[in-house]
Amino acid sequence: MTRGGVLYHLARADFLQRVRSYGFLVTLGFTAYFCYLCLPPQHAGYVTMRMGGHRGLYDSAYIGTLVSMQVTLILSLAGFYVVKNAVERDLRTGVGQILATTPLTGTLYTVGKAISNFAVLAAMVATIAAAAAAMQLARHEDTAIHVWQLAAPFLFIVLPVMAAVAGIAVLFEVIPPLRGGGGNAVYFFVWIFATALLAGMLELPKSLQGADLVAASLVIPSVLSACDATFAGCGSARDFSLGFTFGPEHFDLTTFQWTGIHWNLGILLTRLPWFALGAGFALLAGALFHRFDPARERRGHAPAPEIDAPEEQKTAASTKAVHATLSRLADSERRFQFAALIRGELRIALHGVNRGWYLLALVLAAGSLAAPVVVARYCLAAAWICPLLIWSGLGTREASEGTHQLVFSTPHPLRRQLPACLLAGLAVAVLTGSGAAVRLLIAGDMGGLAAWCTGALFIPTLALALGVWSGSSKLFEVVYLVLWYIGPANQFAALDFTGASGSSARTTATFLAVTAALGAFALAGRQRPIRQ
Amino acid sequence: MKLSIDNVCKTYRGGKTALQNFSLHAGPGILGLLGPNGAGKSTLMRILATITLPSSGTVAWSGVDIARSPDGLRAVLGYLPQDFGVYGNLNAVEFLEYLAAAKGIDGRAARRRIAELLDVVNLADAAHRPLRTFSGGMKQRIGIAQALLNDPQLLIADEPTAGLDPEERLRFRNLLSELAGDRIVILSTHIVSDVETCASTIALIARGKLLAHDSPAALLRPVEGHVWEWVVAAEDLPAVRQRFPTGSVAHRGDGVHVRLLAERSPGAGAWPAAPTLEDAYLSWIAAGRGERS
Repeated sequence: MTRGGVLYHLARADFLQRVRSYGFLVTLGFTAYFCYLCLPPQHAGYVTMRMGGHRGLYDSAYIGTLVSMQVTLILSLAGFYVVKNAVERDLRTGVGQILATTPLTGTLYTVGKAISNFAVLAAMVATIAAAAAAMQLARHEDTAIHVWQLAAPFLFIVLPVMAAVAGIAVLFEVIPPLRGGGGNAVYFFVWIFATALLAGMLELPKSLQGADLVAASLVIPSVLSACDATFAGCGSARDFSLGFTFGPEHFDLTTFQWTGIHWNLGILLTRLPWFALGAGFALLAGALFHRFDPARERRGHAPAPEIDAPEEQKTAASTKAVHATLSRLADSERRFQFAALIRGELRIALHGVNRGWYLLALVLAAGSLAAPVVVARYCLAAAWICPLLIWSGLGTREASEGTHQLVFSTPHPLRRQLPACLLAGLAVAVLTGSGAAVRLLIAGDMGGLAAWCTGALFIPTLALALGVWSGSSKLFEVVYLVLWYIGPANQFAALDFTGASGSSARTTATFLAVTAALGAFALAGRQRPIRQ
Repeated sequence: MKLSIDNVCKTYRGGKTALQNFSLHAGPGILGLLGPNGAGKSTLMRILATITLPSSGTVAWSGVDIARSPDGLRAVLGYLPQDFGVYGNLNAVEFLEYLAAAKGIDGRAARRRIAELLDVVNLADAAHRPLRTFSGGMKQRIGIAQALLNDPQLLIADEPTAGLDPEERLRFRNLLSELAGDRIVILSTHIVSDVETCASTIALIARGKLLAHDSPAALLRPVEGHVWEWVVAAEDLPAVRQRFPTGSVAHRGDGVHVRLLAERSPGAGAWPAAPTLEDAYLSWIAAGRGERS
């Protein structure tokens, strides 16, 4: 078979495996809903792009471009997490071991996976494009659908970036330290850094326009110019916003017509580097790919070389009669000890955590206790991001490690094991955030302490609920990272579950209520596999 | 102490029926559950282990419906699933301590019990090694140890000897015989030799239905006088296989030695053989498929 044929079948099988799932249908539902959110009606409480008090008329060109820019931004983050499981699936299912024994080269494998990733992302983009057409009709500002004007931005703005995302997802997967939650966190911060540069993109020289993630340097001057032609002075408006912007009041924006981008070869060439980047990532992944060799997996993440019974033990066993007896367990010895179960859960959660982590947690706890207030609040924020990968295992470990049948057949798994798991997560939050708690106690800040306690309970409960329902640690890692970045890291009081930015009693009460709801959600989720 | 399974059906999402009107009653002793792959054994095991619910019908432990009140059974249940995982970063003692806590065993008693169990399953020397370094057979023995942690009254073992070497297999069978005195042990397997020596009763299951449930001796009765050994030419073997349910086949110098089931002598040169449980199993399964001679 030709290389093309091999790539086709590899990508096709992987693509079909992924899209033939309820999860993918739900993902498509969310992407279509996202498209709906991108196009707020008049008088909505938020806007997605405006120039002062104006925006473009919702016609094919404007909708296609506006939705494409938003989708590029969001899918460059969320899309990565959606597709970053192609290699992991082969590793988990054992298919990788079979593929490793075939003549398939590492490069063909990673390129095939990147193509499959791209196909999945393209399917999501196609869904959004179809939803955009439906939204144009629903918004009813211009009902004439011009397919090219609507579709071209998806083809030339979104898809090139998706190619890069598809490639980098494979690259992260073949580098063992980046394959798990650590890689998810790294990508998040890389993405934050990359999008932070977006603001400066308008000033980019033409030669660097290809690096412009959402083609802002191409679109925005053109849109501003069209706005200026209708409303004088709009083109120089400083009051420009792109992205979801919420206002205290409803937005009543006046509209102007924009004819869209006139796509030409020169413009298309500026988008090509994204495809090249994706291909480069996939090829680099091929060079780093170790063909599922367990010996090259990270310690603790791979089946280490198996040992058998030592020789002396075998000899002893051989000489020992093949009869085995077992003593009885007295009724008095059947006594449930909750502390022992919590200890067990804590031991499982913390096993494999290295000394450097404990040292860092200690330093951050000390910092949040003794450092000046401005530094201390960041210390607490940092202290409560360090255990990300410990918390993300809550509620998922039984499925990911295959111990669910053992654990769920023990007495009262809902009353015992689930709370023990939660309390182990709480213990981690309490220990890592203890410096801040002591500080609040010394200062007599009971409101702050209540907020801290709520935060300490909120984090593991969120982890448990998302883990139990999704069966994967990834959802919590992404949701928590976003929440943490907006709340504690950027001191957005309404989402600061640490209470460090002076959260109000109302915020604390809200988080407490959310925590209670998440707890109930976790309980209901755990009931499913036990009582199917 | 009684386990009653009455008219249990299990249909999975997508419409696949794994169990159909399955009824069985078991008391102390070893019940061997024998059937081909995909017969519904693991589904039944999971229902008995309170992991999954039957679509209809009831399973009662000492008169209590386990679908309504599963925790009474869980307190006295030992379950060894067919496929299970372990926490690879923990060592054997730590993993068993965790499960002992989940099963509600006092800490001190758990430590004593774990030491004893690791000795019984021949893993005392590997007690403090991370479980990820264990071979398949060693992992299986950890599974056996955890199933016995709480001194169960009902022990359910699904394909327990998978991955064990012959010596460990024998050791496990003897351990089961030892344990079975005053408790119910359900041993699910598709390997006849696993149950023929130790089971007090055997339930034959195929395509989700109970074909027979009786003592090994009673199961042998219908095939007495119907088991034959016959030496045939290699080229005649396909035709023989088509005509009769066949068991073992051995290619020797004088031809192919075939063990088969037939009402009468299948042909010239065939001689009657003493039936074994494997013959009985073959006969019942063939009957289940409508092929019984």
